[in-house]
This record gives sequence, C-alpha cells and structure tokens, in this order.
Amino acid sequence: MAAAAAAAEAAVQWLSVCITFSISLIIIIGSSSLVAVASGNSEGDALYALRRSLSDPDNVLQSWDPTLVNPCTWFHITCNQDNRVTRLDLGNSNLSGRLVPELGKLEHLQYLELYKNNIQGTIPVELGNLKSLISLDLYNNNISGKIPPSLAKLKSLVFLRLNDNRLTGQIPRELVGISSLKVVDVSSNDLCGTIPTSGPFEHIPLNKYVSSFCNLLLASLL
Amino acid sequence: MRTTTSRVAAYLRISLFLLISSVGYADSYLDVLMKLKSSMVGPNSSALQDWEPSSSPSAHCSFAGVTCDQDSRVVSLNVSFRPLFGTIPQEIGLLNNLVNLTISNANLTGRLPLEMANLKSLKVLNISGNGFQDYFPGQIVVGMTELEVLDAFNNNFTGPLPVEIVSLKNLKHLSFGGNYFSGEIPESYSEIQSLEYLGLNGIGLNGTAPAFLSLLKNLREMYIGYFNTYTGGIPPEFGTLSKLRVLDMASCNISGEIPASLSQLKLLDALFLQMNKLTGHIHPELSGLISLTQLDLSLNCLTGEVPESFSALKNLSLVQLFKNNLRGPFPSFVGDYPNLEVLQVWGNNFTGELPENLGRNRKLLLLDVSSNQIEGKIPRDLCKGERLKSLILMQNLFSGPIPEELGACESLTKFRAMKNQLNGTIPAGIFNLPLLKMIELDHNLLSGEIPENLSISDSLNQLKVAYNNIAGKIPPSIGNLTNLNVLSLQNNRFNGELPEEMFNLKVISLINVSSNNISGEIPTSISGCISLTTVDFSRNSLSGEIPKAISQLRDLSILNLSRNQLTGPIPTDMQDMMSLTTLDLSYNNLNGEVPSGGHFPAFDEASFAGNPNLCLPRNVTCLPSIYSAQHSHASSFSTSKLLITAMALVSALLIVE
Repeated sequence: MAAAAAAAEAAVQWLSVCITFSISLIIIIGSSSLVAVASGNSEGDALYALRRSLSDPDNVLQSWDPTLVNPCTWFHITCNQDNRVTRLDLGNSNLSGRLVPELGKLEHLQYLELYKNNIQGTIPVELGNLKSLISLDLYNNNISGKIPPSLAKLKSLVFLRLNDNRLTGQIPRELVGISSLKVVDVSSNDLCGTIPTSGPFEHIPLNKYVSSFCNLLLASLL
Repeated sequence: MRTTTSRVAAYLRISLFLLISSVGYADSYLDVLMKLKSSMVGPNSSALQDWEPSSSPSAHCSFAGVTCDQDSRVVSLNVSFRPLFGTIPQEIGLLNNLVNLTISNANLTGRLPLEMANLKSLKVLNISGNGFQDYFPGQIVVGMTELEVLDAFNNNFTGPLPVEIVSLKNLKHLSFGGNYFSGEIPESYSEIQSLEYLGLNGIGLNGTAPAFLSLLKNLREMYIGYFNTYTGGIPPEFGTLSKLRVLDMASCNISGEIPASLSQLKLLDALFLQMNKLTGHIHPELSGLISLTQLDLSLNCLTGEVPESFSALKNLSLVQLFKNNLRGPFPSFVGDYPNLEVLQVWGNNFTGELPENLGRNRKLLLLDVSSNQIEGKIPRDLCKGERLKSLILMQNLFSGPIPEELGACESLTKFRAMKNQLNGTIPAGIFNLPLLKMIELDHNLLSGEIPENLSISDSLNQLKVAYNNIAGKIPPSIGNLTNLNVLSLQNNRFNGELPEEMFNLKVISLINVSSNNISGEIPTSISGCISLTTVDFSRNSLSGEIPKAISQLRDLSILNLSRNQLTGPIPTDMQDMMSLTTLDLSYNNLNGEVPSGGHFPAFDEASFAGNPNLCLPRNVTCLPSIYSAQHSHASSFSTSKLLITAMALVSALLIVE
C-alpha cells in the first residue's frame, strides 16, 4: 500500500516537473540564438532577428549574412561612414511575417521602408526609439493593433505613412508634438476617434483620414 | 529534484519492468523492435518501413539498422539521419545484448528512459542531434562498464552534468556539448583517465576555468568553449596535456594572458581562443607549438607584436588574429608558410608591408588585412594558386597599382580595397571575372577607364569605384551586368552620356554618378530600372528635360539631379511617386511651377533653389520668366498687382473708346 501511494505521489511529482521543464525549455529554446555570431554588432543581430521573423519567398534577404562583421554590405541596407545603418529599403518585396522589437535598436536609422508587403502583427512600441527616423513607411501591409503613442518620440519624423493596414484604436494625440511631420497618411485602416488638427496635422488634407469603419470627428468641432 | 520518493519509485518501476520482461519471454526481439518502432516513429514519419512483423524467428536481423550476432540477438541498432519524431520507449532496456546504440539526428524527443540502465554491454551510446530533454539520467550508465563512447551532443538536456559517468573506466569519447546544462564542470571528471575526447561546448556552464581537467593525461581533443562563461584565465596546467591535438576555448569569457606553458603541447594541431577577453602579449615561446595548423586568437584584447619566432610554425594553414590591439611590422614570414590558406589580421595596428611572396604557395583562399596601417604594394602572386576567393585590403596605406595578375584570378568573389592610395588603371580583366560579386575600390587614386567590352555576367552585384580619377565613358556594356545592385561611380572624371543600356538593369537599387563630367540627356529608359531606390546624377552637365518616365519608378526614394543644366518643367506625374522622400533639383534651369500635390509640400525650398525660372507654389502669383527669384515675395506680389491694374486700366480705356 505504502509503495503504491509513494508511486502515485512520485508520478504526480514527475508530471509537474515535466510540465515545468517543458515550459522553461520552450522559453530557453525560443530565446537562444541559433547562430554563433562574431560578437559586437548589435545592428546586424537586430536585422537578422527581422530576417528570421519574415517569410521571404523572393529571397530578397539572401545577402543578409549574420557572420559578417556588420550589415553594411547586405542588400537593401545603407550605412553611414561609421558603419551604422541609416536606411532599410524593403518596399514591394513580397515579404510576410512580423516586425520585431529589435528594430528599435537601429539608433541611426533614418528611412524604414517596408511598404507594399504582406507584413502582419503589430507595430512594435520599440520603433519609438528610432530617434533619427525621418521616414516610417509601413503602408499597404496587413498590420493590426494600435498606433503606439511611443511614435511621438520620433522628433525627426517627416513622413509617416501607415495607410492601408488594419490598425485599430485612436490616432495618438501625442503625434501632434512632432513638428517636423510633413506627410501623414493613416487612411484605409480601422481607426476611430478624433483627428488631431493642431501642429503638423493642420495642413494635412481631411480625406486622408476617411476610414472604412468609423466616422471620424474633427477635434475642433468639440 | 531527486527526492528519495522519486528515486524509490523509479527503482520500483525498473524492477517491476525487469521482472515482467524476464517472465514474459513472449517478448521476442521482433516484438521488442516493433514496440520500439511504434514509439520512435511519430505520426509524421514514414521511416523504418521495413520493420514489419514476420513469422520467421530471425526476420528482425535484416531490419534496416539492426545487426545481430550468430544467435540472432540484436547487438547493434543504428538509425540515424532519418526523421522519426517519436520517443525512446522503456522497452529499449530489453535489448540487453546491445553493444552499439546509435540513434542520432532523428528528431526524437522526450526523456531518456531509466530502463536503459539494463544495457550493460553497451560500448557506444550515441543519441546526438535529437531533442531529448530534462536531466541526463546519469544512473543509466553506472552498469555500462564497457562504454567507450557517450555522445549526447546537440540535445536539450538541462540540469547539472551527471557525475555517475566518472565510474566508467573505458570511456574515451564524451560529448555533452550543445545542450542546456548548467552549473560547473564536476571536479570528479578529472578521474575519467581513459578520456580522449571531451566535448562540453555550447552548454551554459560557469565556474572557474577547469584547471583540474589537466589531469586527463590521455586527452586528445578538448572543446569547452561557446556559451560557457568561466571566471579566470586559461589554466597554465593545460600545458601538461602532452597528447592534446585540439584545444577549443572560444567565446567563454576567459581573461588574462595566454600561458607560455601551452608551448609544451607539441602535438597541438588547433588552438582556438577567439572571442574572449585575453590580454597581454603573444609569448614568443608559443612558437614551440610546432604541429599547429590552425591558430585563432581573434576578437580579444591582445597587445604587442607577432613574435618573430612564429616563423617556425611552418604548418600553419589558418591564422586569425583580427580585432585585437596588435602592432608592429606585419609578420613577413607568413609569406614563407607553405600551407597558408586563410590569413585574417584586420582591425589591428600593423605597419610595414605585405611580403612580396605572399600567395606564392599557391594555396591562399582568403586574405583580410583591412583596417591597419600597412603600406607598400599589393603582392602580385596572391592568386597564383587560382584559389583566392576573398581579397580585403581596405583602409590601409597601400600604394602602387593593382597587379595585372588579379585580372586573371577566376576564383575571386570579393575584392575590397577602398580607402588606400592605389593608382594606375584597374586591370580590365577584373570586371569580367566569372565569380566576382563585389568590386569595392572607392577612395583611391585610380585612373584609366572602365573597359568597353564588359561581358554578360550575372555575378557582379556591387561595383563601387567612387572618389578616384577614372575617366572615359560609362560603357553601354554596363547593361550586361544583369545582377548589378549597386553602381557607385561618383566623384570621378567620367564623361560622355548616360548609356541607355544602363537602364536595362532590372535589380539595380542605387545608381550614383554624381560629381563627374557627364553630359547629354537623361534617357527615358530610366523607367526600366524598376528596383531603383536611389538615383544621384548631381553635379554633372546633364541637359534636356526630366523625363516623365521617371515617375514610373515607384520605389524611388532619393532623387538628386541638382547642379546640372536641366531645362523644362518638373513633370507633374512626379506627384504620384509615393516613395519619394528626398528630392533635390536645385541649381538647374527648370521652369514652370513646382507641383503642389503628392509629397512636394514636404520638400523645402532648398530642393528647388537656384532655378531662376522655377516657381514655388508658395508664391501667390507665378508668372514664368519675367520675375527672377532674386525678388522677394512681397515685391513680386506688388509688381504683378501693378501690372494687372495697369492692364485693367488699359483694357477699360479701350472698352470705353
């Protein structure tokens, strides 16, 4: 009897240990890097994280070799004199998959061109860390979720094109704080709420905000 | 968490199992193997098709991967590199005559069954390349007194390294690398005196660097780096491992100096210490490593010079010292190494010249000396063996011409020599090398021309010769480089016109010919380069109009046509170019109005300055060619107002007449 009870107790213990280890293994496996890379290039690592997250049937990312010392010879990447990434040009490249938070590490990035693909998932809040960003072009994708208010930290932003996605929620009011904004397009999404009309949004034509879902009210009418 | 309860339970389970197995002799080998198959072969796999029930008593001996002895007992099971997707069942313990159990790279998962303890005749246990999880149950090996090979490389084992293996007196090959073990290497591992191969790499171990492993006098290969994190430095005691052939302690956080005592390792073939925090000088005594063929000390903080005594290391084929703080003259004796294939010393402070005979051994594959202060000429014989793939010399003080011999180097894939003082003509043959992907020669003193007859090639991706003194025309045959992605010709002396054929390039994304003497018009065929994202034709003598066809470049982001002599209007179709984020048309002779739609409101006045007849939409009235840009807004407004009033008066007078 005692042996049976002991065996039963042991079985329960084994089971719980198993589950815990399986879960922690999934976490460990998921976060461990798959390639032993020469240390010291976090920008290359960040971009390679993007590559692993995207599906690339046309092999436009074939030259993205993470064993190189920096990503500056990769196609569709432009670097400055100090070998820091300033441009990412992947518009119209038949890509699908998701964006990654690691993109926020590209501190010198000025142009993020990912338009006209089939990218899903949400806009990582970490994109707000791209303090040099001039152009954020995510238009014509399948991106959902909200426009993160962290984008208001992009104090150099001139072009913000998020149109033709499936974004929901409101246009963050904080975006009026970006005085450099010249071109904004968030049309053809599922956005709701009010459109800012102050600051850089003052001159932007109204019809850019016609949403297929909600009626938008002018903030100034309230 | 090996509580007494679970231990007792496990013991009971095995005993019960063995009891049943000895009584139930109905479990023939065939039955056992069929049970194995049903457990190991998952639903997604079609492996082991020939393991089928049969009435013949020794049918199992002809199963794929199964070997029997003369009594039809299974002695060897070898199922590898076949996707199984299952688990090992406890019935494996019934194959108690197994000498060899190899199930590697078979996508197996789950835990190792404790019943494996019954395999007391095992000499080889190889379960590498699977997904086995949880603790490695060390107790299964206690009875395997004959075990010589234990290979669990590349699984998902966690927990501490098992100490039970220390009792194995015949163990020669131990590999736990590529798992997720934690903790320290047990000191008792130094008791496995029979060990010849020790693989503990890529696991996640910590602790001080295991000096006690120097007691393993028979050790030939030791891999203890990669993702392990030791404190302290390389134990000098490792110099006593006189039979060692391979010492791999890469990427494991070790610091301090490379001990001179390692020079005692007369049989050492490979020394891998890269990606650590090693400091100090390279000891001249290390030239005692006379058998060394591979040396990698890169990505450390080593200082000082490469010792002259290293000229004795005649067997070296791979030398990697990149990204350290080494200085002094470039070691010229490497030119005498008869077997040198790979030499990478970039990112140091070497001075002096490359040895003139470098490459004469006909074996050179890869040479990277970039980011040093090396001067003198590029040696002629680098490609003498026709094997050279990568030649990277950038950011040095190389002078003289690029050797003609490189124009015949058919193995070359990358040639990067930017930021030097090279002069003369680029050997014509270089542009036609069949495997060459990258030509990067910017910022030199090169002259001459690009050859007229570029052959059809799908290899060249990047052609960058900017900031040189290259003259002549851009040859029409540039259109033959079908996979060209980047064309950088800026700041040279190119003349003539932009060849139409240049715009046959379908995958080109950047064309920069700025600061040259290019004349003629922008061909309308520019619209053929549908992948273009950057066009810079600025600072030339281009004439004619901006072709409307340019608006077909839907992915064009940067367009710089400034400082030319372009005339005519800005095509209104350009308003449809949604990707255009940077536009510079300044200092031309454009006229008409700047379009007000699309992105044009985002471009400030500097984009259009220096065009006297060009009219910005901010002007309230915009009369072409009468008012120059020198007038302020206010004055042009009032002058035009006057004119209108005058005309109105005149017409009024005429009507009255």
